Amino acid sequence: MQISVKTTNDVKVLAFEGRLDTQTSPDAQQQLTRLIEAGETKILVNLGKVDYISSAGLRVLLVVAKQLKTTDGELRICGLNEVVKEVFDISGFDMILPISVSESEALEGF
Amino acid sequence: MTSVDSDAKTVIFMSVDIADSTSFKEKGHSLDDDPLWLEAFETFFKEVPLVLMGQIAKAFAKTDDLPDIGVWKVIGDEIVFRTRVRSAEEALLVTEAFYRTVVTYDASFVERWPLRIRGCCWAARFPGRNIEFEIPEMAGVGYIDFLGPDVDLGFRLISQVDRGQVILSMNLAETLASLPERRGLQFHYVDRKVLKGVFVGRPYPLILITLPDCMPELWQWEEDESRQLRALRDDPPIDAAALVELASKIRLYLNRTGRLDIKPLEF
Repeated sequence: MQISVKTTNDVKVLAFEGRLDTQTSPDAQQQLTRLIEAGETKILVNLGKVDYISSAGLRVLLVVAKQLKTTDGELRICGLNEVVKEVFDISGFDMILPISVSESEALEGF
Repeated sequence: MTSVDSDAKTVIFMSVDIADSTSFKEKGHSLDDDPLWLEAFETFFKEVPLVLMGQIAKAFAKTDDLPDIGVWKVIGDEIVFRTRVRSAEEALLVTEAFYRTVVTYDASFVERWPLRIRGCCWAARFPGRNIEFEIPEMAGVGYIDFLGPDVDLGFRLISQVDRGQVILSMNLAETLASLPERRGLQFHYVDRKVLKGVFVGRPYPLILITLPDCMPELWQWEEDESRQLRALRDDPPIDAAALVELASKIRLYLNRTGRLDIKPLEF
């Protein structure tokens, strides 16, 4: 699992690449938590290059969303490919987390 | 075998099982290609953990914390999840999410294949009567196993529940029934059965749960009605206070006559 980080305006944009599953979720969560502890309140996760996301991966996103909520921050998700979109549909996460088609759309009004 | 953690903890186990799958696999056998049943089982193993996570997200929508739920075992046509719970309230939310998973997924699964699922939810306290340990062969891959009478119970109990239903262990049902606010959860004491190796041969109470806003739609169409199903459909739920009293009496009886040391769940 590769995670690249960039900053656009005051938003941390993380692009995930590979599988987000039981094996890779702890690292992903650690990186995201580190950003929140450093004071970041706006985080956008781009899942466009994610091959698969398991229930453990979904949990990471939800934990981070809850962490950000306690600091009046927000987590947004974008770039779901077909495989990841199916996972969000089955789990109902498409109704739980704010999802945008593209990075630019997600950044609007963040 | 090495005990991995001496901290006292309560773990909830949740098992989802495909009922009557053997006959489906026999009928769906093909010599040329992949077996016809393969897609159904792949779908089950892929989707159930996702649906459960979605229901967990909804149940815990107003809390800051989220339980760490993972797959403990996959045994044949059965997935067993485990999660540590830190309070009776958390146990209630986990149980609610699991119930909704079983009922909703049972309905969607049967639309695609002639298969039904059922669920069992039970709890065990560690250490003490039960232990948590690492098997040397599996060391390094993070596989933790659980052993003990309260752990084994669930594997006996799941075979007692009809398709589309969720059954609870007595200790978990008692814990949830003791709560002043139960999010609409109803308890149904439908039968009692002797389970091999459980309760020193005395009958074990079969307690099912329902939620009025999430009832199995297929009940009224079931052709082969069972005693359990009839009781669930026709009899009123057991009063929570009566359930707590029942559990207390059973425990007292077993501890006195069977020289056991069964305690209510602690957190």
